[in-house]
Amino acid sequence: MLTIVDLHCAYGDKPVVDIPRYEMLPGVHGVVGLNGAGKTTLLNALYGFGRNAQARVHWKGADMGHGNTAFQEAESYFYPGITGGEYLELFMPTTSVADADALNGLLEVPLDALISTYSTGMKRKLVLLGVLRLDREIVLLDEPINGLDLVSVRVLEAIIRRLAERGRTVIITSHVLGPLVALCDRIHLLEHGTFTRSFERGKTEGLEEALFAELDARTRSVVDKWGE
Amino acid sequence: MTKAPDAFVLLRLRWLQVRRVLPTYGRGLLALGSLGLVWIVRQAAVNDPTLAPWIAGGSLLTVIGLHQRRPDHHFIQRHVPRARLAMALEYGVLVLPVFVGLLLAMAWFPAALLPTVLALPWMPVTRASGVRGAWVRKRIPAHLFEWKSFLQNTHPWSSLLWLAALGFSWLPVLPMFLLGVLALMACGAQEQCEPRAMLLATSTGARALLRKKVLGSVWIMFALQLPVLLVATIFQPQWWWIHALFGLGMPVLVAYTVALKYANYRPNDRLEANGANVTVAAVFAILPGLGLVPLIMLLNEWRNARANLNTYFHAHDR
Repeated sequence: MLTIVDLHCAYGDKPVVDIPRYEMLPGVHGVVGLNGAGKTTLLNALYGFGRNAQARVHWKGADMGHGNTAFQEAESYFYPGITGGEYLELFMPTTSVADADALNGLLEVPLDALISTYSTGMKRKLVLLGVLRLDREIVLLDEPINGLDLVSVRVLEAIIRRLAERGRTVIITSHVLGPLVALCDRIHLLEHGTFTRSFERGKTEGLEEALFAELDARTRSVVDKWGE
Repeated sequence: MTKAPDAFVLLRLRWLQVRRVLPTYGRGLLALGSLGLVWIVRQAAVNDPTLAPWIAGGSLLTVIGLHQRRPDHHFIQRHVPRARLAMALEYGVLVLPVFVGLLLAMAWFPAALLPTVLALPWMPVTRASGVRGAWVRKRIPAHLFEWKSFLQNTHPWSSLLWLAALGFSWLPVLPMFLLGVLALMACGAQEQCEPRAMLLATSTGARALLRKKVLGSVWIMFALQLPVLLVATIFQPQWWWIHALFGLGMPVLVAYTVALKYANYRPNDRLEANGANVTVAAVFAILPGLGLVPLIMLLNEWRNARANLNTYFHAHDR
């Protein structure tokens, strides 16, 4: 079980994420929230990247370190002048189960080419391949669908399902609700930096209303007055 | 109804490009230049008939190179009807001034070589990957990606520099100068910081990462300079101690640059300010008797690098 204890992150005086305690069982977890809700900050803090973040994250009762976790960041940066294959060589598989190279047959990343020649989608897929090669117990995916074509999204969905079957804990953030609802065992609603509700698979009625309630109210108050 | 593009579509496109780029007098000059080329080729082939095969062969190879590297090849094949015929006409026009020049010089056989450009569009295109120094970079360990990037940015000039150092190793100072330039170029490649994901994938801790990076870079620098310095010592045996000091100084300089990078490491940043410190270290590294200074600088930066990297490797422990 993944346990978050006292996760606080603030930019100056403004708190961005504030989670006193939260627990997640192995499986696929979706984190949804509007822009600025703190999704990326939460994943950064979980991985230990968050500046101005304080967090205690436990995995199976012990402190969660980088050794248990793989993280696909929302933004993809690469070292200039190297190929996709050279990038992946760094991410050596820790077990024989990790067969990310075979997955590249489906994702079709040109590993012999320089990364600088890749499209946005290819770069996302390359990072994903690196994350999969690490074969860690906790996989954090920040907006993994962004920039991917329809075929790659289907492959990604199949990969995430397989990770869950193998007992991994996958935490995904996304702006796109459809794939999350189909994929996740549980969806957590993040509002103003804290989890307010969670929805089990198959019981996601009211998720959209809960997500957009505040936004809809704000939109109506502006749009209804517009043109008066 | 729109008329389907014919085989002259590429020629018309080039003419349109010429008209956009060049004003009327520019197009006049281009026409004069083409006529001038015909005249030059004719004169060259008449004055020295042995030049004619070289001119024809050179022209043919140039067009083969153009065909193999043209960036719009894929686009033309997909979107231009009778694409190969269109490209054949384009290549024909390219070699026309040379062809006419050779005909006017009555160099029949070399001239007969040129119409083969019309068959080039049927030649398979080998796509270049753009990866430089592939043979060498396969032999560089994955965690020394800075050296692969260095090769990508400097090959073939860095390779030529090394060959020149080896070739001139019978001279007293030049090989060391060339190796020094090469070492400074390699130090320059250490200015770019990798993203956090790559840093954390390289090793499990700051100490292990520094050891891997520094020892790996030192090993590469040793391997680069050893053949040159050995041959130089054979030619200048009395300089053995200078070569030995130099042979120790350059790897220490590279090691210092790696430590300095991680002492100031910030994900994805380019640490251009490091160049000044590296220059100071390089000056001390080449001055006889002051080689200890870069070593002291290295030990100092090693501590700073460990402290800085620990904040990334043990972020959860804050």
